[in-house]
Amino acid sequence: MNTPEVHINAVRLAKSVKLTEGSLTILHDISLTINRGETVAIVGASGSGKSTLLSLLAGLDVPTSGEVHLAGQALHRLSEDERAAIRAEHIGFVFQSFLLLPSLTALENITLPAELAGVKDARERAMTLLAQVGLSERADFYPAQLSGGEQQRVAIARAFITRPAVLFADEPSANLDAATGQKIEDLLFRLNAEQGTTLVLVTHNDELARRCQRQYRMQAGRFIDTTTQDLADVG
Amino acid sequence: MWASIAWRLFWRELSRGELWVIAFALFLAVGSVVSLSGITEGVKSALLQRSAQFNAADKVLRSSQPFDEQLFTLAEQQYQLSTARQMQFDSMLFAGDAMQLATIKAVSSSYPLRGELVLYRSELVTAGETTELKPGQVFFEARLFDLLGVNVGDEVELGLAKLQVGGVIVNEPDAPLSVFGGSPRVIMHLDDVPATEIVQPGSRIGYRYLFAGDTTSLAQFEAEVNDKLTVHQRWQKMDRESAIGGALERAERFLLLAGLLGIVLAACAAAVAASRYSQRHTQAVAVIKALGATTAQIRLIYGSHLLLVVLFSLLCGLVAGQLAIGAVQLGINLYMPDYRAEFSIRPLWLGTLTCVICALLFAARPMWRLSNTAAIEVLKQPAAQFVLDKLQWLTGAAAIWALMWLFSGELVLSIGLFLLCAAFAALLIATAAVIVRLVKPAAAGQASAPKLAIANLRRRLWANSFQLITFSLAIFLALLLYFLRAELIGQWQRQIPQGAPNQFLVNINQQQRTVLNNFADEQQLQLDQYYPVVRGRLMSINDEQLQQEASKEDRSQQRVGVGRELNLTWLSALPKNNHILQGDWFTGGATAQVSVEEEIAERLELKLGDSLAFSIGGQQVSAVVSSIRKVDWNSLQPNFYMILSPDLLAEFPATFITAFYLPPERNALLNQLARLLPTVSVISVDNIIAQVNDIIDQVTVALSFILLIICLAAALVLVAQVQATLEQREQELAILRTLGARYALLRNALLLEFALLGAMAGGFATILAELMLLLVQQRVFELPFTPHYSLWWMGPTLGISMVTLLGWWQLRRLLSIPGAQLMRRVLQG
Repeated sequence: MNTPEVHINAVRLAKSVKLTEGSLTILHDISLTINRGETVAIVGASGSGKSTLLSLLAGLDVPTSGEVHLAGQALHRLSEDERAAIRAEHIGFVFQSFLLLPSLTALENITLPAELAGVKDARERAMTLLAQVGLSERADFYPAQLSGGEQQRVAIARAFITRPAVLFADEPSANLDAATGQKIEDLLFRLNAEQGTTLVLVTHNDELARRCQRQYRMQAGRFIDTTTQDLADVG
Repeated sequence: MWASIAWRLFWRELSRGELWVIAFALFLAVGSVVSLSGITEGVKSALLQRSAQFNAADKVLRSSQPFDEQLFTLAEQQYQLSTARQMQFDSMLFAGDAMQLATIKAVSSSYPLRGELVLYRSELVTAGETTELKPGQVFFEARLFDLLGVNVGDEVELGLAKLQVGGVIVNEPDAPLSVFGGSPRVIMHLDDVPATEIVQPGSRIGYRYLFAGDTTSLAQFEAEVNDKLTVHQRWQKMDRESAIGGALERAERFLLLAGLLGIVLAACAAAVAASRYSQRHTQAVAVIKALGATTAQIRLIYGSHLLLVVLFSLLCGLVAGQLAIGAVQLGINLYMPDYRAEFSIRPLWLGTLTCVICALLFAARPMWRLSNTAAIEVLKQPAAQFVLDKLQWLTGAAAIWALMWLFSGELVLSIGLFLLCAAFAALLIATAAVIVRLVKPAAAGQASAPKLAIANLRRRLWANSFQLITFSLAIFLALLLYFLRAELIGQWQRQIPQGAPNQFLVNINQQQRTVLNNFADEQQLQLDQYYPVVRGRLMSINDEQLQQEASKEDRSQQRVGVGRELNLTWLSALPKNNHILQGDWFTGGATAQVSVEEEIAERLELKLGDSLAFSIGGQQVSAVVSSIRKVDWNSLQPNFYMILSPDLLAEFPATFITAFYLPPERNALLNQLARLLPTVSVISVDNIIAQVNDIIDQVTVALSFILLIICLAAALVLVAQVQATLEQREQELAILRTLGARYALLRNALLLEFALLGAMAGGFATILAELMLLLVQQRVFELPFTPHYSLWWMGPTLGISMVTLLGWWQLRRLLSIPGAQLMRRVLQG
């Protein structure tokens, strides 16, 4: 059996923010390793620091101390623009509040990351993805004309268009009703499985977290528990 | 790739509004700069051209020494100017036994270069065949025919030459506008002067060099000639003697002032709209960055938006400004058919520069800040509050000052105005802070519209004092402009009131006064007072003999006199439009005193108590300076440099000046009067009054145009400001509606909030406008201060109505959205 290839590696990560009276440490001494193709959930209550951890792992922000490596690159040493280049090449995002650009149509929102990365067949890829998320009919609709569930499906299609190696999902179903949320989660895991993407999911929903191979539980900026699911349990 | 994303986003953004607000603000700034500077230039050039007609040339050089041929060669060959020559002297004309002293003007064939010389082959100005001046001929002012007893075709002697009477002078473009007629005027050809042998060493002859051509060449020529001028040569002031000069200067200053402030307003609107645009796009930029865009790509995308907006506004502004200039030039042509409109590039580059400054210093900063948004912002809640950063305040302030300087070209004025605006802003912020502290927070209990309004106001007033400043500035400008416009027009109308005397009669002798009085009674004409006139020369000051003419050779300490005979009068009452600056006006028993006009007193270094000696008709008369007067030379009244106390001149034979108002339809009476009193000259100032009225009309149109621009800019600032708070208001409304607030409550709270804000801004604006009017009245118009009572109700009323209407107009749609839908919009961002 081959040793799984390490895809994301964080060593002793810490993050503090400056306040008017002193500084506040949001993350303490976080270390983790995620292998290629693995699905990992970071679970915790609001304010536990899980979104901050996601921002560091995805290169949206840099740690105050510690190291983050993604696809062999030391993110903590790179500039904002160098990290942007890594994101364009390797990373996809799904956000809690969808974050579609209101002035672009569903199709244009999906093609945007591909265009930024200079992908030639952006439109074809986008049409295929639209079909996969079941929104071919809605290609020319603007976000305001779509329901919450439809918007999140567009966002998922957008996340997969550059065929990213890692997908970061921040509470992907939190803004949706239970039934729609369930559909969105199914879609996310299906596409993820199809494309063999590494998935890092941030959620406060234990049920959703249990669909991942591993769960890191956070509280007050620290890991308090790590669980590895039996593969049979993973849906 | 970025280009297609940028283009797509740009088109979609156009439909959302802010880009249009930026575009319209820049358009307004460019359009107003181009049109204002163009219109000012147009009106100025029209007035200069009119003034050129009064001088028969664009530029006149006066000299007491014979013509310097080199100057003509230089003007004609190097600067392609047209030239004419003119000599003027007093001499006796003989016709048989009759003789008469006349003012002779000898002109070259090219005279006049501007305006029109009209000569009739007739003794009457009312009818005759038009003719031209030829060598061997003389043309007379109408009264000279009677004085000499000659007719057209007769021969007269001038010096040693015999000349034929060619006819009457109907219109002499550069005839003196002064209401003192002096000797009768005669025009002859310059070629005949040598034959008269009048020009001898020591003869008092005035030489005039007349030049005309395009403005640039004239200016360059003048600059070159200035270094070569001798003490005998000086440029003639072109508009000193007309009432037009003063009116022009005031209009120009006023247009400048209004223009400056209008641009500041438009620039503020652009800054607010750009800030809001950047704030609203923060999250979109964070998303695009999270998806992998670099800062450089973001700069290209949003920079290209700004560039497209700037180019579009610039182009539209230049075109609209040029159209406005064209319309004004057409208007000028209506009342001045021979007006030569000159295309000037200055308004266009001034407009372009304004646009670049506004775009770079007001709009580029928020865009730059936008491009620096960190990708991490994608995980944060977007800020609903609209804020301006410190650097933007600084760049904005620098831009405002730069614009003021650029547009006025006056460093001191721009610094002064800028400091005033800054002080005003600081004062407003301080006052707003005090009000915020004084107003008690809404007490617990039932929610009411006033409570909600005050709570809203408290919060936003503190956070957005910028809003209050711009509201106040906008209302202040509208008020200031309205009142200044009224002030300016009022002042002009006071200068030439309806029914002011328009016909002046000069050279009236004692006997003719009775005839004239009877004539006036019969015709029901209201004669003005009679001013006695005696001509005399100032000979000495405190027994020190005056040099009668300046000369280069004589550099003695001797004071130089006036250089010509003065019109002296004696009066017991101070004439209208005269103010005593020093000393006292003659009291009942005043003897041997003289009141001197301010400028000539300064030139001759006179002070109270100095003793002046005049030579009048060969006799010496002495008087002590008892007062120094300021004279309004723009008033169409007989004005005197020296007024003597009545005891001194009563013995001398005097002629009189009077005036009356004659409605245009009764002009035929003038012929009757000419037949009745042939030696009295009638000088009509109807044309001057008509010209001044035309200019007032033109400037009034220009002022109304500026008022419109200012109001548009002010409204635009309000729109931009309200738009900037839309997101925050949407959130608040969604929450209040969800919590069960009724439509009426929210509507009333909103209306009240705007009304209170408007009242505050209106109140501040009123105070500032009154202060500014005080300054302008005293410094610009040199008038005593009078409070503007109507301002005190107009300001707050305007503030309340303007802010409430515009606020309501923009927010009424938000109120009508059902609560659930509003909440969804807010949640979806």
